[in-house]
Amino acid sequence: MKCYNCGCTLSEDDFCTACGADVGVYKRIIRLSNTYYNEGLERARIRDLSGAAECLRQSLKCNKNNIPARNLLGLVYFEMGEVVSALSEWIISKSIRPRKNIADDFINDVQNNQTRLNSVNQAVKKYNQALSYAKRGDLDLAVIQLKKVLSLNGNLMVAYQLLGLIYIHNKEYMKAKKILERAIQIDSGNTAVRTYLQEAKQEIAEREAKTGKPLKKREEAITYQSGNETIIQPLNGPERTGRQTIVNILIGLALGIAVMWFLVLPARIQSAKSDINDHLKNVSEELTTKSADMDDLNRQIESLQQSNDEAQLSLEEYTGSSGVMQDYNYLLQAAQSYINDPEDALTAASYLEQIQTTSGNQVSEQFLGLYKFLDSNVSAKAAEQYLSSGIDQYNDGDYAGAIENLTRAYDLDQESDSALYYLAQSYLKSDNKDKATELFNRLISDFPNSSFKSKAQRFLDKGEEDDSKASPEEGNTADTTGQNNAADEAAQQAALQAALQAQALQQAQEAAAAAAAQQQQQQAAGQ
Amino acid sequence: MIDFEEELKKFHPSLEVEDAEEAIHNHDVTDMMDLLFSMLSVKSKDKDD
Repeated sequence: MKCYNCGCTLSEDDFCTACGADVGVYKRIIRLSNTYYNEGLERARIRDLSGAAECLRQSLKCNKNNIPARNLLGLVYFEMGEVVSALSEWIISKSIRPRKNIADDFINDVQNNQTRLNSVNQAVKKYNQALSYAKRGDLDLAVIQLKKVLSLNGNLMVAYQLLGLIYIHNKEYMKAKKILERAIQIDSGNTAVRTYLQEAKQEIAEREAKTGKPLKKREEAITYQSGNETIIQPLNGPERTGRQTIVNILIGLALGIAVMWFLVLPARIQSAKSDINDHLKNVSEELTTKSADMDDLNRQIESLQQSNDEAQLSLEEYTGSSGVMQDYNYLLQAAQSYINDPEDALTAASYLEQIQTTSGNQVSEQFLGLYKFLDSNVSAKAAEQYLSSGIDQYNDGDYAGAIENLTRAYDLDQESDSALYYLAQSYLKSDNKDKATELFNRLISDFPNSSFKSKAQRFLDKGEEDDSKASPEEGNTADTTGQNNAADEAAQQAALQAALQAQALQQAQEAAAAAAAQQQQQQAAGQ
Repeated sequence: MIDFEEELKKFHPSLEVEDAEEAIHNHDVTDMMDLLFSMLSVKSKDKDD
């Protein structure tokens, strides 16, 4: 506590130790103000807002500078719905003590919430209008307005009081009781509200005593206007409890899940199935395309394999042991044998026998020319030599060897009746009468002028066998070169052989060149 | 029994936001301290006289 004169801190004495001023009364006033403030604080704590406001006003009448009392008074006014009065007290408080004053926070809270401030202002205006309606006698309009006021500002005590009073005047005691009980919840010490509530309860009790049963409410719903909307609120509506809210939430969740399960989920599943089917269709088409490509490639492979096999076969024909190239080799070997020793007809003939291609487009003209030359010059001599050998073997009793050589002799010289006759004899001597009979018949048919015909005929008719020795000079294949001079004949043969050798050599060279060219061509085609 | 008219007379219009400034301006902040100081000043003046 400070001295009002000099501002120094006061002691327990009733005078200021600094300036000597009499502060006894001053101190009492201060204490009284604080006492009223404490009383107001206690009443505010038990929600006796009217009593608290009265005490705090008294406190401020004692000491206007009692900042806590002024701030608390503002709070009490605010709780009673008197926002403007509250703001006034806080503004005055702030003007007395600008710094470190909680009134700053209160003012900022109110001013920052403009929406609430506007609704409070609207409520005050409507209350004033309702009051004018009531004083004018338009109680119905006043009731409507007061209901709007309470919807905007549910703490405005004067609105509760006025509405309760009107209900009591209209003998709507149950409504009055209900509205006044709500007011008591806010301000328990309000004497006017208590008086009206007591009046309403008393009247209700009297009426219940008269009728013998509880009063029924006339209306089960409150109808009022809020702006352009008509709001109908049931009086007996069930109060929303927390448990009911949770139950409602759970019901809502269950409904939502059910809607999802039966409406949304099937559509989503169908959409997913449709996507899968489309994808499957695309994959199937792709698979079909790939299969077709694979089949096509397989066919190509088969075709290429076939072509390869054909090429291999063609190559084999040329390069194989029975191919054209091999024929060329045999021909060259035959030509070489003939060139080396023209008298050795058997060797050349053996090579010529192995040649398989003697016509067609697979061999060159040179090949054919050389082959024909050799064949014409070698075959006859070979036939003679085979015949001679065969006859010798026949005479020696080697009928198997005789058959072999005589068969070759006959193959080389189809005009040799001797070869045919002695071949048949060899088969006969070998106990192959069927073959012998066949050959004898051929001899008779092919060589009607042959000297062996009679012998053959005798065997066929009577079965007489010829046991005489064979002679190569018999038959039509006997030496028909005449009774020329041996020396002239030898010279002519030597000259002929020389010419033939030269010709054979030339043709062999040409055939070799053609074979090499053809082999290269075939190799290129095979690659 | 409550007299409606009499009770109605006790009700006064509430302050609106627009009236706040005027209300603050007209607010009577005279307290007992002020009375005390005025009494003391009168007393001291008389003493001087």
